[in-house]
Amino acid sequence: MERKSVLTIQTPRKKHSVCLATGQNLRDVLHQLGLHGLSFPCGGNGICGKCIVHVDDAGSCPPTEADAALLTYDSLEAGYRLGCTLKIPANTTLTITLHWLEEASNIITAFPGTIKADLFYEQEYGCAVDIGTTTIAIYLVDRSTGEIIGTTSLMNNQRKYGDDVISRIQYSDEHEEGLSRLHTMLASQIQAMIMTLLAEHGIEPERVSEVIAVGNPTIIHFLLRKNPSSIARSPFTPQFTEPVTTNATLLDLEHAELYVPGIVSAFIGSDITAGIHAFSLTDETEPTLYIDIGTNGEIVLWDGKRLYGCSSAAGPAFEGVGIHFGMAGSEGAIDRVWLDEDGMILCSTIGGGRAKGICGSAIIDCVALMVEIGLVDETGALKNDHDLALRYLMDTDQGKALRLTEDIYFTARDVREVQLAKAAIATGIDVLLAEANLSVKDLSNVMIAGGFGSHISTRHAQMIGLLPLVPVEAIRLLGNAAGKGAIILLNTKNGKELVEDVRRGIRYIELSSLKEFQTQFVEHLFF
Amino acid sequence: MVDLKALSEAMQSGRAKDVRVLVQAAIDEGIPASRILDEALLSGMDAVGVKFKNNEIFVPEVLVAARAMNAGMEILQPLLVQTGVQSKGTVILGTVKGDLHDIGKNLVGMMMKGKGLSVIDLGTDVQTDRFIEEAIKHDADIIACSALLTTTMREMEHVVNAVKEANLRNRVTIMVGGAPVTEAFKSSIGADIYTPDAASASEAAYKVCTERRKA
Ligand code: B12
Ligand code: FES
Repeated sequence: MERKSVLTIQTPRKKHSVCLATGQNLRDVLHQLGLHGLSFPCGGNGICGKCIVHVDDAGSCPPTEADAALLTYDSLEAGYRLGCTLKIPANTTLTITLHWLEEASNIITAFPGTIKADLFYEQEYGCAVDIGTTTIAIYLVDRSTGEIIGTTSLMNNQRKYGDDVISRIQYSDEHEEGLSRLHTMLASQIQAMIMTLLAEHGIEPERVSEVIAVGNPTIIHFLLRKNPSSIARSPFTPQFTEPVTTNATLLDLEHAELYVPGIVSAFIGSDITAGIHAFSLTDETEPTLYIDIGTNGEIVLWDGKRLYGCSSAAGPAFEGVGIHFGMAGSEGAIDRVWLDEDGMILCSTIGGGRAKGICGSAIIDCVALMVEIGLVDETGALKNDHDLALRYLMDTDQGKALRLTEDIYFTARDVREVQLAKAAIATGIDVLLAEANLSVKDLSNVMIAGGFGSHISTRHAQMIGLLPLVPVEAIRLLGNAAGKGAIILLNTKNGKELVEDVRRGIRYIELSSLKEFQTQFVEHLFF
Repeated sequence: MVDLKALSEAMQSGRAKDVRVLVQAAIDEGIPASRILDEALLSGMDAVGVKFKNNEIFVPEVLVAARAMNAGMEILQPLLVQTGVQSKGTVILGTVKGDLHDIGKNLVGMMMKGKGLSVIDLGTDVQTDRFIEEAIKHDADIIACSALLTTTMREMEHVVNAVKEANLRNRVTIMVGGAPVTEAFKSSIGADIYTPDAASASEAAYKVCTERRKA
């Protein structure tokens, strides 16, 4: 006989009650209920410990192996469990509270400069869609003027299948309906976003004549329902690289065409090529670097004649994953850390409320601050015997740590995670410079694309060795360069061709096949 | 008298030149090679392992210490062979098929060497069969697999199955590790040992080998 349990799921907004067959995975239950707020950063592999939920009856949910490994005895006793390994127990009435349900955070949709336009269509509209691993931004463009009339952005719902693309590919590989689930989830989210945007502006869907979608190769595979399996395995190749023009029926826009620019390599996609085109990287006369920092850092160097590109797997440390109190840049995240005149540590928190964790920009601030004060030496070791140790450090169950607030701190191990991430990016930059026979001092400009880059203190990023030491004036923050690029593709006659030129022009360098990588990487671990 | 503690410290801080000089001096003074190995180099590597585990030192320091250890080993090795000092056990180590990450695996190898074990490092992108062939060839105690990608860690299951098929399951201990690997994953694929870092990996390997030698 099948036994049922009554489950109440409490989110910050609402209570959901369901009657369920037991033994079901909480993750699947949330999926069925359409609750996408709880994120599963490591793809539900029980590694990251960030998918914590609370159950009111701790006894009915014995801790799983992963629970025991990642949560303390006290939190287990108090009813905390990992959402990804939680199975609904038999014959109980259980209330599960989702704490970390994230509201859409401060997603960057802005970018500097004017938008080119030389292609006009009366009475028609276009949509430029920038699909990121974490966020989706959509711009509604009036094609008679080339101007943006509406913008919308949301967190990418696919995040529940993992924060990084590899985890999502793993999900798609290991589940029968995996690929179509991930495809449908993405397509329907974009479609819903577009419909809302159109409704807000009183525009009928039939008037949309073209949609341009840019994004990293994995995401684009999911959008077009192509199997991205080969991207996650050596020799890391995409299924296709050429641009795709098709009918936008998959977004429920039968009257529109969907254009998706080509792919450079498994980890460099049209978000990069479109961004490069938008900011005319190849018009620069002096060597210029273009970087998009994320879980994967995409790096392109223009030496005045040629483009060189690589992707460096920094890992999710800057997204807060693997950092003890790390979290995404949403409500309750500490986003800036600095010292006041008396040397007191001050923090600002998104939303201004009580701090719940630390997001990427503050993670960089913490490390820079520790390096600056000397609490961390050049090897990254925490100096317990430092004169100021008493003032800034506190004892925790993770050892000595930098105290930010009463209960939020930054650990010695967190510093190590940041070292790995920043060394990966810095080594990627070095490799490209070497390939072009250039050095950091030859760089006249450093362009930083993407939301993360717009939030960070560039000075601190330089201090920890994440960004090259060029004069501050040489650094340009581009905001959502990819979005701007997609809009330009809608608006111009030869944009598609020029973005194709960029794609074909990039000399791609595969870091994993470089013998010198380890030596250089290890060198860059230092501060 | 050469101070073995000073030698150990020179090794820990990666001063390869000093290590060479001190090892040679110790040999010239007639200190047995096996004692130099145990009391200076291996104990030094132990200390490095502990500091690494406690986040006091990181990858670069372990690498330079290991280089200094190797410098000393080069001089000691011929003597150890002469005097018939036996290896404490043999480990076949490699990063699984499809995966090219090797920094963590290299640290594991170094720490295992630091425990006096023979380590046959097959490198990266190692085909399942090679683990088996080399284990047979060297009559290995342990097969240790590393994987850094959530997609390639599945390959470890194939290694476990291949060991079974080759009828080696009772003879070889299978260790797995790498950032995405967990204790639960280890159990699910039927491997024997998982540890989260290189220091504990070498301790576990050492334990397996010595217990086997005793039995
Ligand atoms: C350096 C690095 C690279 C280098 C590798 C250089 C090299 N020679 O190893 C390069 C740039 C080439 C690279 C490439 C790629 N990488 Co990479 N890489 C990293 C990075 C930054 C650090 C890994 C590392 O060296 N850590 C330091 C060592 C010391 O730690 P460790 O390996 O975990 O090892 C310790 C323990 O795990 C344990 N251990 C290790 N092995 C074993 C074995 C046993 C038996 C035991 C008991 C214990 C044990 O002991 C070690 C020491 O304590 C991580 C991100 C991060 N911050 O972790 C990404 C990361 C591992 N890479 C990733 C990816 C996706 C890739 C690429 C596919 C993508 C790309 N952009 O190119 C390629 C694939 C290459 C390939 N074919 O494998 C992802 C994996 C994501 C996932 N969900 O699987 C990560 C997590 C980053 C991310 N989130 O995007 N990468
Ligand atoms: S531990 Fe559950 S998603 Fe990472």
